[in-house]
Formats: sequence, C-alpha cells, structure tokens
Amino acid sequence: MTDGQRSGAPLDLGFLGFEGGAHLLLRRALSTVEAGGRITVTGGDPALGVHLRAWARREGHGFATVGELTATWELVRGSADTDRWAGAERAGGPRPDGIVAHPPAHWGLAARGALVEAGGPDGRFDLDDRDVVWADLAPRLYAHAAAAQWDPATAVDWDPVTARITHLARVDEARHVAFGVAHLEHQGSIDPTLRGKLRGAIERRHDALADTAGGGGHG
Amino acid sequence: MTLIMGGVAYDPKVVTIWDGFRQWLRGQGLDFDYVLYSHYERQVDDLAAGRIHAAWNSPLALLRSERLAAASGRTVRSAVMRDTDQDLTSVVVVRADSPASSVADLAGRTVGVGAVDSPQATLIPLSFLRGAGVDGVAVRRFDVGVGLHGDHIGGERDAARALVAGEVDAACMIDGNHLLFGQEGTLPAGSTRILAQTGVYDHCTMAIVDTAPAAEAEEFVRLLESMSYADPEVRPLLDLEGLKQWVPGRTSGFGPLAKAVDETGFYDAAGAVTAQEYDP
Repeated sequence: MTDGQRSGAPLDLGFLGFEGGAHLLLRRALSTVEAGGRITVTGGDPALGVHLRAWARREGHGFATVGELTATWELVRGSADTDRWAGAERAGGPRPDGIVAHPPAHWGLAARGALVEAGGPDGRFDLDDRDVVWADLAPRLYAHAAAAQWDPATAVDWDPVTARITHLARVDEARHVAFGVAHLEHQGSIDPTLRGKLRGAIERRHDALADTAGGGGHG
Repeated sequence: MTLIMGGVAYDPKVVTIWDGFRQWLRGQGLDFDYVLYSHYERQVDDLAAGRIHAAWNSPLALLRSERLAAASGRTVRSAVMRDTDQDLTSVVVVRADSPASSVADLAGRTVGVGAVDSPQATLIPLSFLRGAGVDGVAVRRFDVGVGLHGDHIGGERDAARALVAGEVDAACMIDGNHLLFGQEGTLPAGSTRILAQTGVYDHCTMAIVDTAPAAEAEEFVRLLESMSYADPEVRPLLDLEGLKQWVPGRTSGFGPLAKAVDETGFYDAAGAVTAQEYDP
C-alpha cells in the first residue's frame, strides 16, 4: 500500500460544524483512504473537537488530537462502512433485462438494481412471481407514468380552491369568535371585576404593541 | 456448565439484543444463558455473591462489583468492552449567550445534571467541577431511570431541555449526546456553547467474577471478541448494542468515576450503597 492510500488530503472544514453537515464532508474525505488510512481535520467550529471524537467513536473510526496543534485532529478510517456491505447483492438490475422471475424474499421492497445489505429479514409477499404479476403493458405504463408526472404547483388552478377554503375557514372562525364573546358575557355576569381586568389587559397589550409595525400602531 | 450472564433491562431492546447473542453464542457451542434485572444494584449483588457468573455492567456497577467482591475475598474483572466504551468525555454546556466564559463563572449558578446515578451526566461532571474549584453550584437533578446508572437517556435530555428553556444555567451530558441533541433539535443549532470538557473515561464492561466456570468464561470472552461487523448474523445485534467490535476490557479508564464515588460517598469501600436520595 502506498503512502497515498495511508494518508488522505487534509480536510479544512472552515467554520462548518456537525449541525451544518460536517459529517458529509468527513465521510467523503475518509472514503479516499483505505481502512487504517488517516486524514487530518481542521476547523473553527468551537464544538468540532468534542463532536469529532463522539462521531468517530459512533462510526467506528479512530480519533486522536494532533500534538500541540489546536483545532487539528486526526481520524483513522475504520472498516465498519465496508464491512456493512460485505455479501451485499443487487436486487436485479435497473434495465428490462434486470427483471428477476422470482426475487428472493430478503430483497424486501428494494428498488430494482438497489444494493441490498445481507442479513435482512425475509419479507412476506403473496405475489412474488414475475409471471403472475406481469403484463406486457407494464414497461409502457411505467414509461408513460414517468413522462406524465405532474407538478401540483402548476397542474392545479389554486385560485378558486384557495378562495373556497378561505370562505369555509372564515365560517368556522366566526363560530369560535361567537363562542368567545358569549363566554366572556357569561363570565362578566357572574364576576363583576372581569370588565375592569379585561380593560387593563387590553391597555397593557396596546402599550406593548404601540411601537411595533404590525401591532397597535396600525391595528 | 451453563455460563449465566446478567443484564439490566434499561430498554425493551435489551431482550432482542441478548436473545440474539444467546442464540448466536449457543450456536457456537457455548452453553450460555442470561437473566435480566430491573436495576444495576441487584445485578451487582448477585454477581459478587456468585449467583451469576458475568454481568454486563455500567462503570458504576463495575466499581461496586469490585468492592463487594473484594469484601468477601473474591475478585471481579473487566473482561471485555465495546469499542464505544473507551475514551469518552462529558461536557458542561451553557446557552450561547451565557456570560460564563469558564467553569469558574458557574459559581453560585444552577447546573442541570442527569439522574443521581449517572456516571456521565452527574457523577463525573460534578466531580470535574469540584476539581476545578467551582464553589456554590446549585445542582438540579433530572432523575429519569434511577437505578439504571444513566443508561436511560431521559435525564440528560431533560437537563438539555431545561438549559434551552432557561431553567438552569448549565447542563452536563456525555459528548455523544451533545452531538445527538444538536442533530435531533433538542438543542437548536447555535443555541449552546461548550464551556468545558472532562478528561477521558471508560464506560460499560463485561464483569466476570472469579467463581465463574473458567473455561466457559474464557470461551465467552473469546467468542464476543470474535464477532465481526461483516457478519450479517451479528451485525444487527452489534448495531442495537452500539458497537462495531468487542475489545479487551481494562480498568484504566474508571479513575474519574472512582474519584467521584469516593468524593460523594456513593458507595463505601466495601461496596455498600451509601448514596443519599438514591432509591432504585
């Protein structure tokens, strides 16, 4: 094995942290070295050192700080990600000649041509014989469906739909308001202090909103 | 002779995990069975008394097992661990806008921790703060799953939520949970800042008592260490248990917890439970 395979190019994450997807760049960088190979990682996210250690542990990679350097760490690629795909198999192939007559149950609902991890459970499918479910029309129907996909944002005239929904919602909302007012009227009849409390609350709310653009100033 | 291992049912998945391991181990020719406990203290009692031979122990349970066993002339060893049990750290986290710039600034403040018996979210970080000379910290405990030695993530998550809600000034958690809470949104992106990180320590270990049948115990450890993540039969079990590889056990990583246990009198030197407010 050459030195090139043992050490990947250093990865500088800038200020990208794990909350922003640092793991994606780390995975890509680690994929450039063999298991046992190393990459050096630098970055300015304040939590990066803590998160790198935890992430590497969870993913099965080695982790080390680098000498006296701050904000620099070393990862050693583990074998878990390649081990996971040991014995994996393709669920047929994406082309018409990849359609399998009797797909094994452990392919489950994998899309045609997908890589299926070994060791998965056997699905229970009553219909698992291509010739039973087949129709010669199927490839053309599939092609038609693919060609005739529609975008709800453009395929539907939403203006009358929106107007109708708004009208119905307004009717519902009016009922809620009627209940609220009736409830306050009832409470006001049994609690003579309520009217004063309500006035105080409204005035406080007005004061709080008086200087805001969308509140008391205009509303 | 049947090798009997104890495990604590901190989650329903424990049944799936150890049923699967049992089946696999028996398939390899080891006469193995397991029993489940509702909390660690009873499991430790039974291990130290020789009623079970091995115990999948929290680090706190390992320390008590060693002390209890020693008190009756026995020994318990840390035989095998997960690769994910070594060199963990905990962090002390504050809100991003907190005025605190070092742990010293937490003096007189409220610190949220996990359950009373959580090594990673309570015992070790509070010992760390004491060691840093932080005085007058008000501790707010989030006791979820008491007796499970912090295996239940609930206490740590509640402490993190309390931090975001402004109910505590800082929260303590294991490094991996700070990463997890950020990714799942319990800690919104950019809302917190790591104030300090403890030194490294070790976590769970397979404890084996010296009265266990020697050949079976040796074979048990050998078989666990032989499990390969490339084997589709055991990989789902390793995923559930949270490891890629079993590695040889060690005791060098239990120092910070032993210090915390002695500082707080959680257990006495003979392994008796002497902790305050601890009722698993």
